[in-house]
Amino acid sequence: MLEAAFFISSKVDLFGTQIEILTLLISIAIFAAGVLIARIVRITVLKYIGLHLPEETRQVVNRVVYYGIIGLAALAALSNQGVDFTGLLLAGGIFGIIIGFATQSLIGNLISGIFMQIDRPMKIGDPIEIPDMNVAGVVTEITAFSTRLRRFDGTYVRIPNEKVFTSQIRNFSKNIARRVEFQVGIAYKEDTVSAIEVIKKSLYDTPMVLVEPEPNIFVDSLGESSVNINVWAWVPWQHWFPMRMQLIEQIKRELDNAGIEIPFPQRVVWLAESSRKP
Amino acid sequence: MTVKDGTTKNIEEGFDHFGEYTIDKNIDKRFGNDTLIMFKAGQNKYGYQRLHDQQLLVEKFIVSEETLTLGVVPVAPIYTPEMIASHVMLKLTTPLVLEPKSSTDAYLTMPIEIGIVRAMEDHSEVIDAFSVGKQLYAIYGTPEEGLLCRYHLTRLSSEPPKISPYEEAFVRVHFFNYTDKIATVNKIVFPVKGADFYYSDKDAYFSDLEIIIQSKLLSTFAEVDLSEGHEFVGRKASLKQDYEGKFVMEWGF
Repeated sequence: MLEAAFFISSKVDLFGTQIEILTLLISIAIFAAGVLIARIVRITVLKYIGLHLPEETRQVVNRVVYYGIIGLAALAALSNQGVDFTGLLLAGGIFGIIIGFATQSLIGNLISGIFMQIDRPMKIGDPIEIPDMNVAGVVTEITAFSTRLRRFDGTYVRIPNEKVFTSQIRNFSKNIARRVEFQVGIAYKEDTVSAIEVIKKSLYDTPMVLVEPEPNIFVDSLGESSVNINVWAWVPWQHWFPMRMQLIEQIKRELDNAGIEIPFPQRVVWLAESSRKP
Repeated sequence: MTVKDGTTKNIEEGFDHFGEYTIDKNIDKRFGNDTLIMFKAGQNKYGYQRLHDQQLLVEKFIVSEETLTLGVVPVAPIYTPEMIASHVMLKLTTPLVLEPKSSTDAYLTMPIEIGIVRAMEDHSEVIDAFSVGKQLYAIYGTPEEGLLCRYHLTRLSSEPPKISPYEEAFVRVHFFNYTDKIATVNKIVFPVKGADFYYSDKDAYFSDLEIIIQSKLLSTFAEVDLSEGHEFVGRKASLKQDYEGKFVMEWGF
């Protein structure tokens, strides 16, 4: 008993500093309690609040809560060891400036990540395009520092949040409908009114082409070898690509069936009389 | 006629009725261009096939410990070609003009789909669904914040209108204008997912609707809800699902 009391009141040498075993044990206990509390709080937050939050916000809240409590526990444990933080504050100020410069982009990414949670230009599962970076794909993860996409060709890309936040983002799923746009050229000899009627009927017979907003079909320009008709049709965003593929082929087929010619560029060459051999 | 599994089925004209069918023998039902074939495939095993223009489109095997009964009933028009909408927009061919503090009743038609339903005690499962009529969709509101709806063009009528069997259901609507201004109704939007339908032979009915036009805080809107009771009497086709209920038409009516 006496031996145990003597042991915990004795001191050990740690990196040249004499530390009492009792205070060391208390510090370890404080830190261990901090980790335990962090885990309990994380589980509680996830259980009661996390379920109501979007995936990406849940991840950020989870990390902030967990590492924040562990950080505080570490400070408390060090403070119990007699570490004076007043000196650290001054040194920390200078150190902070140095670190700030060194980790400028890291902090920039973190801040951008926080602002992206507020601005919410996209969420996990959204198909997006970042034209400035020539990247398009489906958002798979938004972490504190980066956004990860699965490109449409199946490859994975990680983009720092700072770049994402300051770039133009085109979100394909933000609105419930998108417009399919393409041009059909018909021969000059064809009646444009009949061609527009054929296209209108074809669109009306396609369930995924919305009745409201109404499709727009109009003569856009008089080309070199064709009268160009623009076709604009609204479809649910999930069906944009399949409809884009289907409608062009379908309208071509129905114009063919109606006997309306879709011409290809032709050039009539006149040979001068003088160039002919006698 | 021979279908994909090699069995021969005799598909006859007619017989087009909604109802519940116990599969203790081969059953063939025709609905427009679609033919349903239900048959016993072995001990506790049942087969279901749907042919469109005599081409096999859907085939399922169902295992059931009891003699299988399938309902061929009207269901909400949201299952085909894909479940992308849970509301219906009825666009009136002739708008209804309601004077201040006035009310009226009218009949409309709404789209339906035909569901092949396995009814259990506490819930029902849609085994298959198809549409005899054309499926059209529209946005109620704007593409930015609107609502995708199954679209149907219909005409107001003071008597129960003639409907296309298996494509449409009757619906009686009670209109009320509680405002001090004239209100013009061009369309009605309401939820249909989880709603009950009623049927008798070829005819399908929806519950009566109540449309109350009112003004609050400088905005005028229409509140659409199911009315107490319904005029048509028939068998109930319920999927025993939650129904959203009241819908506020805040983007115009």
